[in-house]
Amino acid sequence: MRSISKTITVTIIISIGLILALGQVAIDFAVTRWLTEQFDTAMEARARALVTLTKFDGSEVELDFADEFMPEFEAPAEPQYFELFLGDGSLLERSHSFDENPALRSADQPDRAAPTGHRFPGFGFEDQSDEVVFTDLRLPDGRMGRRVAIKFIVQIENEDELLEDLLEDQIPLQDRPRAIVRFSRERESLDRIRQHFHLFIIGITLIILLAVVVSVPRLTRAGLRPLIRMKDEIGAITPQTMDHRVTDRGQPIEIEPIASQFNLVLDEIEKAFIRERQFSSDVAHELRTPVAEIRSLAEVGLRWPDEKDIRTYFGDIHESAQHLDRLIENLLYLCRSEEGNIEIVVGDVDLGKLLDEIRASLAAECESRAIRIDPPANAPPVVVADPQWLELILQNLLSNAVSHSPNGANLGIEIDADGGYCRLEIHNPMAIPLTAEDIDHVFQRFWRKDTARETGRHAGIGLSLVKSYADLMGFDIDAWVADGRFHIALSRIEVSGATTSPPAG
Amino acid sequence: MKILVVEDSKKLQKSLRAGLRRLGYVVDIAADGEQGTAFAMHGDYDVIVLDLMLPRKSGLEVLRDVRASKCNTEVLILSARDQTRDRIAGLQQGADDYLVKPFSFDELHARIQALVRRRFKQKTPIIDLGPIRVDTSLHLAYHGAECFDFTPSEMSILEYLAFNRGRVIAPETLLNQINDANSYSSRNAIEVHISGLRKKLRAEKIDGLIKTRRGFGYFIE
Repeated sequence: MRSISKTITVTIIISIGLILALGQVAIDFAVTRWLTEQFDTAMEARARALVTLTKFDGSEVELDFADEFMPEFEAPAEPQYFELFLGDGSLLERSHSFDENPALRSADQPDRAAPTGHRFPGFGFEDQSDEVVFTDLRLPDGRMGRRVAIKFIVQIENEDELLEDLLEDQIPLQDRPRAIVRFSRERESLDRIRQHFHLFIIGITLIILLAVVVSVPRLTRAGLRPLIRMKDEIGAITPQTMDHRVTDRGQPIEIEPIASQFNLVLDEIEKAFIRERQFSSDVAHELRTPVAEIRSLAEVGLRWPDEKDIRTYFGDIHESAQHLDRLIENLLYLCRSEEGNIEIVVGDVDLGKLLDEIRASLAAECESRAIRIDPPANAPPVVVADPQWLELILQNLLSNAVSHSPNGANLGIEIDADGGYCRLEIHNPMAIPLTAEDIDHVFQRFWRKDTARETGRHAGIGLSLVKSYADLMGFDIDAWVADGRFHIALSRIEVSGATTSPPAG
Repeated sequence: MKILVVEDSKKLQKSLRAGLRRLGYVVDIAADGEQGTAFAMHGDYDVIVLDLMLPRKSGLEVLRDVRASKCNTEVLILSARDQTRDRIAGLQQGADDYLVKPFSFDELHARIQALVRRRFKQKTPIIDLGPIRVDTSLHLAYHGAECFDFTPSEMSILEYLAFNRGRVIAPETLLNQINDANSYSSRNAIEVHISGLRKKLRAEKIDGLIKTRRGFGYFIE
């Protein structure tokens, strides 16, 4: 599984590692170059000192060199070297340090076979200007060394200042003798410094890299701490702690909107969870009551079959089973409609005929309780609806009205058709008065005014079922209480172009 | 033993009344919370079987009022509510037991018996009275291996006296044990039942088990 922490850590470490490596190369290159330049500058200064000691007195070129002033050319250990060649390639002078390794001298001499004059074959000097050439080489004593070669025009110098001035005037620059001085010294000290510097830089780089490797994961973790905290808080939320929320205040600006959004999602999940839990609990409760009745009647009846009213037990069990059956059927309808898993087949429905059929189905109960259902004053039109679900809606509404009316009540049905739509209203006096606050709950599943279950037909899902189907068919449904009567109205029922039925009576 | 069933389901009222009566209990039925409260406060019940979701007054309100009136009758809540919080609420309000619907009638009976034993601080269903043993679970009395043929009312009186061994029980109290809310028996009925008990005991050569304290009532030593 991918880890943000690991990704950030690895990315940072690799990035810093690359930067350090490039930096190390750059610094190493710059410092090495600077050290070499310093080294070369010092060498050139030494060579130029020899140049200044080389003089032309009008007759010959000589090097005014005294060993005692430059003991490094005689030092037995780690000596330096110089050679002075004339323009024709002949050796004018060389340091005594060569004497230690005479066999090696010839190898370092300029090419004597080269043309003479102003050229300095083997040294790349093509013109008369000073030219400085640095080369690496192995010194006569076997050490690695560096040599600087300077081509120069030998300066005129004579003890007789008049003669010196005369020579200066008479010998043009191009006719003055040329010479080349080659100064060599070991370069191992430079290499050592460079090597030490390499090691130093590598060491520093490694230390920095180690510090990065150690600190970056910690810093990453510290940076991701709010996220980790949020993860822990989310992890602690279980079905039993659905009311818990993730801390969103005081969070970094990157986390705060996520936490807030997550809390909003949690709110919705919690509501759905509570709704479903309540629904499950209500379903279980509603199912338990008829099952308890059936079981208790069956157990007592089986144990005492000689009970005097044992025959009534069968009717009671049958009634409870029917109640259970209706309840399960309604729950299935409700679930299907809420899932939108209901097929709506719209067609012409004779509303008057449908109302007559429903009234007829309720006639026995109405008669036993002296309840009258008044037919609508206006002729019910033919409407466009799914006949099956419209019947279920009206059956529930009228059955509900009958059940919740007191004995001897009159139920009213009113129908108005206008602008291609029909409105159907049913109203009844209330056996148990409802308040305006109760109206907010009448479409809720399993809501009942009285907390007691009714072991009869109504489990408190009839109106929620009606609403669900009305929504599916595009009807508006509204309920209210007025003048001691409960009113419920369906509107936006499309009127068909077909012929209306005569008023029911 | 006398039981009050507070239950609004007519079918459960019917089955519980029939079943418990056949088991030898005197049963009163209340169909709503207000009636249940009135019955509980004025009837001398040994156990109240109480539904929670009742018309007019919830079962918990009934329980609260009953306990507030210092009534210490054992209460068994019989409800379709199965959530832990419902059980806790019921038990914390003073119920002695909780049974979830749907229930086994035998389990309900066993729990009622347990509550009755608890009420009379009796650990086992068998009460040994010396010459006879009373099995309060089967509502039978034995002399050795022989079982007495007591009527339900005689058995109720004997059980009540056995549960209250050593205490003098007034005839009115015993009358309450054999009468439900819809029946009436005079005080003489108790004398008749006691006489019947003594006669059946004497037939087994057991004399003086049920004693009379004139002006106060009856007792078993």
